[in-house]
Amino acid sequence: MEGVYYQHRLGKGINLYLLKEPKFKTVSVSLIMYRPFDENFTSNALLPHVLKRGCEEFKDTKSIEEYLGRRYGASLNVDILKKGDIQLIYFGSNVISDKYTMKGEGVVSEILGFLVKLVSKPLIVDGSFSGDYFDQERDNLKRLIDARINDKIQYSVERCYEETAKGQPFSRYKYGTAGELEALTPAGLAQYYKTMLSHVPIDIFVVGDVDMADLKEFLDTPPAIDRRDIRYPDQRLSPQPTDAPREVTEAMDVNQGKLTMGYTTGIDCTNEDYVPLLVYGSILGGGAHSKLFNNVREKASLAYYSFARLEKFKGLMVIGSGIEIANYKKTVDIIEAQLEDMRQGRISTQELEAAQRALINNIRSMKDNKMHITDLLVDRIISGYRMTPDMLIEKIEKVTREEVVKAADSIKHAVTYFLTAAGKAVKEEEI
Amino acid sequence: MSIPVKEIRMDKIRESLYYSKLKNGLEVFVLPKRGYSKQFAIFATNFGSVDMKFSAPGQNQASEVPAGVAHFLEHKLFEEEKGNVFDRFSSLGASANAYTNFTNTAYLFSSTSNFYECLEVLLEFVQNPYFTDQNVEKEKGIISQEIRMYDDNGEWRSFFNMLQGLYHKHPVRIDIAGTVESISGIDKDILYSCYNNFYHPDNMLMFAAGDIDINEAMALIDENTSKNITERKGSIKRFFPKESDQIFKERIEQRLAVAQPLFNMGFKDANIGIRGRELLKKDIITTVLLEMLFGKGSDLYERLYREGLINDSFVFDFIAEVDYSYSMLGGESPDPDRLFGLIREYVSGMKPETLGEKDFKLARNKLLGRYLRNFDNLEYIASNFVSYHFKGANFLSFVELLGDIELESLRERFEEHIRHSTPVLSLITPK
Repeated sequence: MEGVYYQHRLGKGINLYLLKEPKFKTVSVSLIMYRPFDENFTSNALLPHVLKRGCEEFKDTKSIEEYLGRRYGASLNVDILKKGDIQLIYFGSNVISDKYTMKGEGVVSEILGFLVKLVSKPLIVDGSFSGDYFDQERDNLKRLIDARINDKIQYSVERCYEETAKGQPFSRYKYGTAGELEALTPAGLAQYYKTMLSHVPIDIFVVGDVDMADLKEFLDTPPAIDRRDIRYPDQRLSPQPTDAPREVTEAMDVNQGKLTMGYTTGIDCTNEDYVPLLVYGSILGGGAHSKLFNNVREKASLAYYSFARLEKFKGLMVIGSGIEIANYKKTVDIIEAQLEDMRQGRISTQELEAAQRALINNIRSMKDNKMHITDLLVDRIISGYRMTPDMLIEKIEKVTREEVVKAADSIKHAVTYFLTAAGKAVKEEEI
Repeated sequence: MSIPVKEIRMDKIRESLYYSKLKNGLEVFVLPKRGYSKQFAIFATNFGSVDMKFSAPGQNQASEVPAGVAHFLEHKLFEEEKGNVFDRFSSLGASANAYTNFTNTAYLFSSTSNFYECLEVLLEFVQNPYFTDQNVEKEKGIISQEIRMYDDNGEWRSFFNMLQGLYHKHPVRIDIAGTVESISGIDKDILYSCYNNFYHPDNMLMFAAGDIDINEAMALIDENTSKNITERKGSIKRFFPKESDQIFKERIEQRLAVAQPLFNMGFKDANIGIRGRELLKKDIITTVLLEMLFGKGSDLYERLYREGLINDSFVFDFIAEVDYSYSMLGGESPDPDRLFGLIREYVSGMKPETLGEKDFKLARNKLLGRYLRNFDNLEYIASNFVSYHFKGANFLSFVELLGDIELESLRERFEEHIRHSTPVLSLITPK
């Protein structure tokens, strides 16, 4: 990234990363905690929602909103992200740069301080979170978990990943399960959080038109948290399947079927074949230049969308299309023919170059988006792989057809997941 | 030869916009964004899904076209005699896209290199339609799958059902892509006739943003649009059925495979027929009003959230078109009927004087923050600029107008638009 980059240790296992980019008018601030996808994943999912309701200083939504409102309506977002085997607890805010405030007052440093207060000085009374906040957020999260089926495309991709990595921590849903949620209590969650806070790695990212000097006030009052044994969670590659691909069919009352096929690639983002794999993914299904778009959509008119997507930490790939249920077999055949073409190296120079250019364009474009910049910094931290966007671009430019074919060789079909209409399950002979 | 270019300065946001009207009638805007990697151009026509009955300049005879024509035309413009336009952008390393909404159709690309070459391709393909019986037929399969995809999308269905509740006859109540039946009636002659009417430079707009040279961009656009253009006398007339001020239906329920009920609530705006700066002003006033009534930090939000009737998915917005306009709320709720009742009761019982100075300033601040935040996103600026331009206003004068609005006009707006109007409830319930 071209911007000026600073790193600053705020405390044990708490680091601040600042990327100064004068072109932005607002500043993105993120505070991230890293957890393994262990048995506490439902607790982790609930935590940020309870924490965002109030802390020692700001006890309710109204006082938080007033504080943020006075700082030009700085936003507050919390979420759970999934990066391979790691569950990230995310707190973020977007605030206008100090350079655009009415009187030049400093708001970025205050917002950083606010986020740290939210996580380090939680509203825990007599060893327990507020029962009201806990109940409301547990209900909300339960509904969020249930509402997972609402977005059929997203749902079928996630289900396909889960089936592909069946039995591994990665197959856990990032928002937890409704069953486990039932068993949690406000006191139990507070106890868990106190322990977790003492050893969870915390990183803070600031992207925008900001200098270290603007953050002086914040840096002078480091978070007071007692910390020890801090370790980033491990990341493990998904093993290649040894059996024939499995068919998983799920019925729902839908108009359109969602055909989603899951593969293991055996290649994560630290592997030397990762860059050729990126090119592979782009040729196969990375946009309007890809084989899937042109064959499934343009030539056969079977779908509006058809894409291939890579998971870079576990070494997985999914292919997704929304189709008429009756066209299941026809579509699978066309998709498999594209994969076969890739394996056989039937890749035109035009396809190869279009894919390389599309990837490069995407990577360069990321520099204009604060969230993408933050995301890249996070990926670098958790993979330990210190490749800058410019280095990546240089490598993409050099990828050859042979290297793409080599990457194709390690791709193994694990699962075909089909979301289909109730009562219209695909008959045996059709598969 | 250089093109006369006018600078529009916006000191409050430290930006300048450059403008020129070409001889053929096309209006061109360039927004330089120094330091951005990405360049972006959008070529748009004032033709959307609601334009179903119209007459060409100088003609009295009105033609009627099937629902979904604007969107169908958008799909088809990407096809050329020699192949498909995506390939040309791909070989330049850029990505192209397009969208059709109720009132306009836009073609766009984003690049990080070869900007001027991409600009030429954009101008060329949008100005060169190539429709055949065969390629029109082929597209019906793809668009049918797009329509079917939206049929399974609860949020989309909820939104359109709300529009059907708000409007008796206005074509905004029909899906943008039309229906599988309506598009079956589309042929190449209909497409050419719409094309010839709406894709004339006098009905179009070019907007480019990024780290680009203003004069070079202007000259290139001029050179690539001036040929073979015949000046038209008169203007396009659009005909809309006479629409009542009253809503059509108060409650609409549809069952879909969702876990949680989804809802949209709409307030029809009777104050229509406004264009230009006044429209933008009305938009800003209403948006600040909605923020005060329903924003996080409002009493109502706090109450509804605590009762579990809304969650983080809760959104609200004001849609300001010339011929139709409405406010809407939406999200997930376990009990949309109760939510609807509470909101109605709250707004109808509320006195305009309750909207106080302190909350007004806070809401205005929030809006400023949100606007600047969106200003870091080129696509957002471009699409809003386009849609406002066709309504006769400059979206970039937002900050200036925001400073001018007064609490009194907001209270009046509350009386007129929210307090005494009968809202529509649209809900999607689990099957």
